[in-house]
Amino acid sequence: MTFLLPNSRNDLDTPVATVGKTSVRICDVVRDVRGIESIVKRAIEDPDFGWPERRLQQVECHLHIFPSAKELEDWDGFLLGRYPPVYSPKSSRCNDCMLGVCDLSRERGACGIDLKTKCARDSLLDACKGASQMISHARALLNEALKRFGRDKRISHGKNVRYPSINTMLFTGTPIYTLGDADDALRYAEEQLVELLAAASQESNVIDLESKAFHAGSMYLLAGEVAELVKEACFGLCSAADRELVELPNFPHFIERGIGALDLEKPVVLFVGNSFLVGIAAVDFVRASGLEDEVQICGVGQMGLDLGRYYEKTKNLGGALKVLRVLRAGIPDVIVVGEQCVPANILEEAKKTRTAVVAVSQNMSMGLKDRTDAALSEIANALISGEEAGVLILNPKKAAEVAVKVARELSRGRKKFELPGLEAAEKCDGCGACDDACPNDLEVSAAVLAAKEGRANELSEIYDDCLFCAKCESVCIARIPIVSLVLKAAVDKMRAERFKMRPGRGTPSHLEYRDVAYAFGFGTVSGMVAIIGCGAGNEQDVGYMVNELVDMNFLVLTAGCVAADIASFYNEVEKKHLYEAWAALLQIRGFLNCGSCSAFSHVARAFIKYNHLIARLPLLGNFEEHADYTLGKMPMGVIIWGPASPQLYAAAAGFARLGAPVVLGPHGWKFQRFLLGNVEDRSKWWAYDGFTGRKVEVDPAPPHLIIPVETKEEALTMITRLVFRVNDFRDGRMSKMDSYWSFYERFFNSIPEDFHLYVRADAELPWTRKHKMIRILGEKYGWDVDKRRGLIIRAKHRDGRLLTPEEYARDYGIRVGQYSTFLERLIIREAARRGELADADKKDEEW
Amino acid sequence: MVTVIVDVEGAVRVLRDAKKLLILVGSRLDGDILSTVVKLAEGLGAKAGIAATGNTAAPLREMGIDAGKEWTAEVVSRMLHSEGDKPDLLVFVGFYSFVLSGVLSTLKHFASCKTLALERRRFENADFSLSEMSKEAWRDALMRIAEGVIR
Ligand code: SF4
Ligand code: SF4
Repeated sequence: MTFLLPNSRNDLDTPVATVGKTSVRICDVVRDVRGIESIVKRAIEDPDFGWPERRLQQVECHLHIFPSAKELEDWDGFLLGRYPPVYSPKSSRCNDCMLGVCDLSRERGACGIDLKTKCARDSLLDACKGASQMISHARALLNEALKRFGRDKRISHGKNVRYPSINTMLFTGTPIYTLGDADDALRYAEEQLVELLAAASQESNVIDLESKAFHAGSMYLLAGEVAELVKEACFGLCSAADRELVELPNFPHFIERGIGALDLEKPVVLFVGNSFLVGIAAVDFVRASGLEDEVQICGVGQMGLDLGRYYEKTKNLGGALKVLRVLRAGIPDVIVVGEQCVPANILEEAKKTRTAVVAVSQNMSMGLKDRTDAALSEIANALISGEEAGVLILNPKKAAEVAVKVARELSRGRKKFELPGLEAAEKCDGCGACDDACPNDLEVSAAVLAAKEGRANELSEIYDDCLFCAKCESVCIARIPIVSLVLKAAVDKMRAERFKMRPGRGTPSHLEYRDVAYAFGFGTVSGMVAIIGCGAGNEQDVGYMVNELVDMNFLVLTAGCVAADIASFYNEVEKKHLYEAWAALLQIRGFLNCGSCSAFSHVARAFIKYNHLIARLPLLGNFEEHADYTLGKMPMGVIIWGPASPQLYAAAAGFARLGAPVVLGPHGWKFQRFLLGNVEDRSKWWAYDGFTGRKVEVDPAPPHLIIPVETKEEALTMITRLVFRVNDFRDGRMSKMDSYWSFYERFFNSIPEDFHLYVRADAELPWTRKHKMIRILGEKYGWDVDKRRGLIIRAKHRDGRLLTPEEYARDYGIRVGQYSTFLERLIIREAARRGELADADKKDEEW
Repeated sequence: MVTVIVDVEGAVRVLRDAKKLLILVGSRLDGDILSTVVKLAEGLGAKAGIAATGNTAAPLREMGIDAGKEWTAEVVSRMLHSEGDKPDLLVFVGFYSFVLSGVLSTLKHFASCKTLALERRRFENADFSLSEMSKEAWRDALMRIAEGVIR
């Protein structure tokens, strides 16, 4: 017998999807079923990723397959209502159309927009820029893979990956099993990007614009996942997916990080920006030619990580941001320059040290001659003789061979660290222009003046925090080569930089998830935190944060340039640098580097995967339910560390929409849009009791969705606060309270002023602090407590009432263990509650 | 447009004119300058509060000042959203410029309070701002402002 769900409108004449004895009409579960009938049917019926029968009976199934931003407005609207955007505009002037320039600070522009709308449009544009960079990266890789292998090439996810392409499935309703599937998924992202860009100059509602910025963020993560899959499946990047659990703590191999790891007598080829295909080709060439012990293949930023996953002898020379440090010191003989994260003046900089440039992207061709069709020896000779400072070669294999050949020639007799002496500081008159220009607020002039007096120490200290942007130099009227002076003062430090790091290994494996799922689900692990980003000035900061979080029993992941920064942090207790101190596992007392910025998608994947593993949430076309569950239940958060780039803007939007709050620091204020909750406004903090449908006032958890902070200590404390969830289990709430309180006390010598908002019962107070907390609840917040016995007699509701624990549990927060949701359609149907629906198959009893 | 304060008296006037003010202590402040800011707050009496942002709550407590730990973003958010008795002047001292530029932009465009930047450089988005000066001159200026409000 087929049981037809009550939300099905008519009869069974139209196609249905059936799970066990329960069916739904597929036209009822999506807005427009035309052309996607089979995808919708499978999205419900798929035994692994589809709907358990019980769940299908319980809630209104509504899928979003290939959705536009507008289709996800229920969720986006909820988020943006609770966490409204706060803007920090670069300028109040708008020159976006021919009617401008308009000053929006006092009135609307000629086109009718106000300043907030302009800010929201800029927000969408920033998110689109970030998404476009990742989509373009994924497209370049995918096109090459399609040419080499064809659409039918199977993508192996490895035996330890049960849920392939999770970011993608949530939106396309289809797992990626072939390159053709990847192509379809990426095409969807490309179409969405075009739509979003079109909206960026037309849409006039702030919430709609921010919802679209969210969508760009989701497309960013989707494209990142496609890029990672192609890199792993078609181009040989290492992945944990086929490894046994016992291998994982030491997987992947170590590579070396830092200039000190180089033999400066030997040729150095440095890969900058996204020059992935050329990098792989160069490694293949070096291997095939037996040059592995002679030619040193190095990367900064993305290439330092991706190449490391391919080639154990890769030398990682740090984050992309600081490429000038390496270049000015004359370390590389040749740089191979792709697109993204490349300084616009890199060609000029390379000329200063006579470093040959091989550009390999038509998006970053720097005015160089396209020599793709010239003979290899001809190109090489032009670069070796200096006749040409750089060339553009759009054939990866040829570019790779040219780079290696030229490096071998140029390295002969070439001096490294040819830097000016301190006498170059003599002309400094202390005008301070460099101080004003420095984006990191460093006290540059004092250091230069000290150098003038013969002291190099201050300059050497600048080295530790410097972004190597050279803005100071460009404003110095005395034309002092400040960056070179900083490097000169820090030559010994640079030579000593030699650390081990793991370059990234893609996704966590199913075994790891399974191993820790219980602890994570019930909350004995405080939370899962990803630290991603470009890195800021001081490399030690990120390592410090990782170390503290690991120590606090968080599950910690990382990806992006910060993964290289982490390598230099020394753990004083373990007496080891960080990658050697902790196991490479997504486990308590471990931390995991997923890879470069496309690997942010693995972080999102880890978040979503837990929802499926713990709650068995259907995956196909079911984004909203996952986001609802993450925000309501799963203690996940992201710290983005380093300057605001469009890619990070998009990533932040993608994570926030998924329900994982984001802390931005310390350059986070440059993001110009934050999503801040207002804890004082009680009307914002509610959730549905998922069983009764009652709308309940809840604790303000998490209090913000995207928030900037100023220090690493603030970042750590804030992230422990942002992993609170309304649906915490008892142990989870206890361990979060403990982490939050302990960071707060340690860093600020105070107690968290808002802790009482998260107290639901005395049984959830951490034992070691219980009596102090009880005392403060009584003395400061007016609760009726028994200090001697450590009990709450009557809790004080935010409306002022003193309530017994039972009354309090009823009127404030979600009862422990009770299902809750923020979306009305996910409240359990009345009929299901009354047990009037058909019995589900035994295997679905978990719901 | 920002009013650049060229003399100590100008800053003192702005501080005295405010009915209720909040001094936000930024994460760069420590040592003697922090003491000067405390002196400034004390000189202004009951109408002035201190918000310890960044990591400054700890050193302030060591100095015996029970300034609550505040998150700059939350202070800004309160100025935008909350009803009730809000300060009419926010005073900033000891902030990284890449933080303060953003903070002041939000407040300038979306909040009704006035802002005063007691920093070593000029902030165009503040209502009132000191201008570029050396660290020594800044230290001296803050000291004289703190003394000025008492007089
Ligand atoms: S800008 Fe140049 S001259 Fe002026 S203080 Fe800086 S280094 Fe000296
Ligand atoms: S190169 Fe370093 S010191 Fe110079 S402006 Fe950039 S961050 Fe500041």
